[in-house]
Amino acid sequence: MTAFADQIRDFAVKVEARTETAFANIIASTFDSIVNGSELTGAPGQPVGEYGPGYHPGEVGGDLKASWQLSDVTPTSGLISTNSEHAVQNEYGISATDGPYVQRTSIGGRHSVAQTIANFDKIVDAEAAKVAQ
Amino acid sequence: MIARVPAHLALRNRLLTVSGLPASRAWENKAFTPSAGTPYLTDEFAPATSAALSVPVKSAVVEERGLYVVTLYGLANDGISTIGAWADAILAAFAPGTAVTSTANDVIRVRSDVGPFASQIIPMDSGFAVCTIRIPWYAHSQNVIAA
Repeated sequence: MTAFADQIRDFAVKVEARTETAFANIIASTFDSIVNGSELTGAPGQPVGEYGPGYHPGEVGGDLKASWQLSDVTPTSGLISTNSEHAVQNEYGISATDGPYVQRTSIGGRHSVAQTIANFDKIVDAEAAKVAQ
Repeated sequence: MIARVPAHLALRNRLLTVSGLPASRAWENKAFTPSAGTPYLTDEFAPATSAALSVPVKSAVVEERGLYVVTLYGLANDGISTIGAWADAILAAFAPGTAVTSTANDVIRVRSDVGPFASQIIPMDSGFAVCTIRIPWYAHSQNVIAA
């Protein structure tokens, strides 16, 4: 094989490796944005309940945040999911019962999935820039 | 940076041009008690990101992004037509590329790379059925570094 063909092959291998690395980092950053929040997307992350006297005494929050899972990751796809009954209410800021949605914590907020989707390009740009170096 | 409150009000004023929406409104951070059987809507202004797009940074173009979120509370067990029509009307009023100008002369534009979208209709235990419309927006302003 000629030197040029060798160079093309090496380039193709490098591109494939960098693409896989970039994708793995992109999906990890996407998951992190939804769960913990991100300055790249503006997502606030999932709320973590703050419990005190007269308010779920003795309990510790974090069930919603811990419910989010990243699974079925392949070189080209991944699944970010939750099975929490509170996820929809929190994401949309809607109350299951009468009255407005009230967030009883200073941690996290609403619309994390929507903000992550809306600003997904910033995650892609950031991770692509890292592998391009 | 754009002025936040005028930007929110400019988007809200655009929403108010849509006819046929619930007359009862729960505006952001205003006390409101829903009445059983009375549809209502809420709005939220959710800023997200800010980035300087040009150089030098002291006079750079700054792009801010965020969401304007309108939540419709229709009646549960009442079908899809009414809530669906409200959602369609709002989406039409905030089509990609739509621009509104605030009283602070900031121009807030509905994004076209990620356009507005409405959720499915979700019946709740409260007797309401909810549909949430997310309107991604962006705005450009000139950076000013305070002395």
